[in-house]
Amino acid sequence: MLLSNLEILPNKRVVKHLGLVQGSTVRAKHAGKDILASFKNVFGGELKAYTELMQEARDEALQRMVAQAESTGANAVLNIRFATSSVAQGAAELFAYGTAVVLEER
Amino acid sequence: MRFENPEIEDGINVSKEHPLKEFSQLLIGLLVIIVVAVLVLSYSVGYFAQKIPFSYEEKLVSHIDALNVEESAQQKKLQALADRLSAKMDLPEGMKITVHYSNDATVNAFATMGGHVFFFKGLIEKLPSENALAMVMAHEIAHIKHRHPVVAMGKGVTMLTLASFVTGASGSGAGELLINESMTLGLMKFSRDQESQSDLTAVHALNAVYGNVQGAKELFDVFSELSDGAKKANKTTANEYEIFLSHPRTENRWEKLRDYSQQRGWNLKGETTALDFRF
Repeated sequence: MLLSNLEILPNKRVVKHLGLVQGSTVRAKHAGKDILASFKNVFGGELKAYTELMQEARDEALQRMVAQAESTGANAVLNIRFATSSVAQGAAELFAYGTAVVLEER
Repeated sequence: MRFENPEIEDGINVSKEHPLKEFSQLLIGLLVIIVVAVLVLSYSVGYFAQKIPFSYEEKLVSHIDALNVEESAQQKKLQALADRLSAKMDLPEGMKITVHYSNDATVNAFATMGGHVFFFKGLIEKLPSENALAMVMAHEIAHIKHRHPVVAMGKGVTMLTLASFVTGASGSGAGELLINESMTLGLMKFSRDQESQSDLTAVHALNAVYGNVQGAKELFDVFSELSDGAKKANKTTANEYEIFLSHPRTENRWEKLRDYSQQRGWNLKGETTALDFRF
């Protein structure tokens, strides 16, 4: 599966447009990490637990988007974007979306 | 370029699993964590509470007005009995037993923080002899000797702290307990193990002072009569006889003590001293 932010890839030709595919997830860390992060807030610095949380959420959202693309028979997702929103305290929603296509060598 | 808009498979972004399944898993997980936390905490608090010096315990409750001794003839007699018994119970150094007497009809006696023991007129009236009274007294002193009140208080405070932590309650229940401790002094619950430990220590003292354990037999006979009477009158024992609230009444409490005494060759029967209480 080819994933790209571009709309048009060099040396490739879109032969089939399969519509929008999207993946989203809302994740949280366990309470222990939330408490640790609130301590870290006092001293400042990287909240590693939350960096990790966002990374996991992006990966999962991307995986789900790819799973949707695979189910439509695409071999690439173009013009991928990410969006995020806050649903609950200490939880992050990550949303990845793009256009599923079938690409061919030009 | 051809355009298509195929149906996308369900269940990729939103799980098809029934939410109750996850809920029950989480609930079980949470319960296991709570049970383990409670066991570990209550065990370790119980262990460390015993190490708190008795003088700290005394200081902690020294400001409570209810623990000021109201002197009376009965109080002095009870205090003298307590002193006789505690002399035979090798209490740790610095441990002082203070006896309080209340003219209340409540059938109860209890030991609490700081070496204070409370006796109610209601209980003493039901007792047939000084020996039976000595058994109750020795039992309550044994609680203090084994530091049961401070352990119970420590466990109570810990559990309330844990509960307010888990439920996220803003008003700390533990703080309230400490503030209202004078109200909860009499409500301290000891475990079954603590009760039987105190029974055994008490019967030792009883034998050392009187040369027989007749008082224990008489005491448990009174308890049986009281609870049978309450059952017949179709009343809950709890309302009328508070002693059953704070002391889980087990049928075999006396049997255990009888076997224990027989093993040591103590006299089960003997002379009893009359109870010279004037009300």
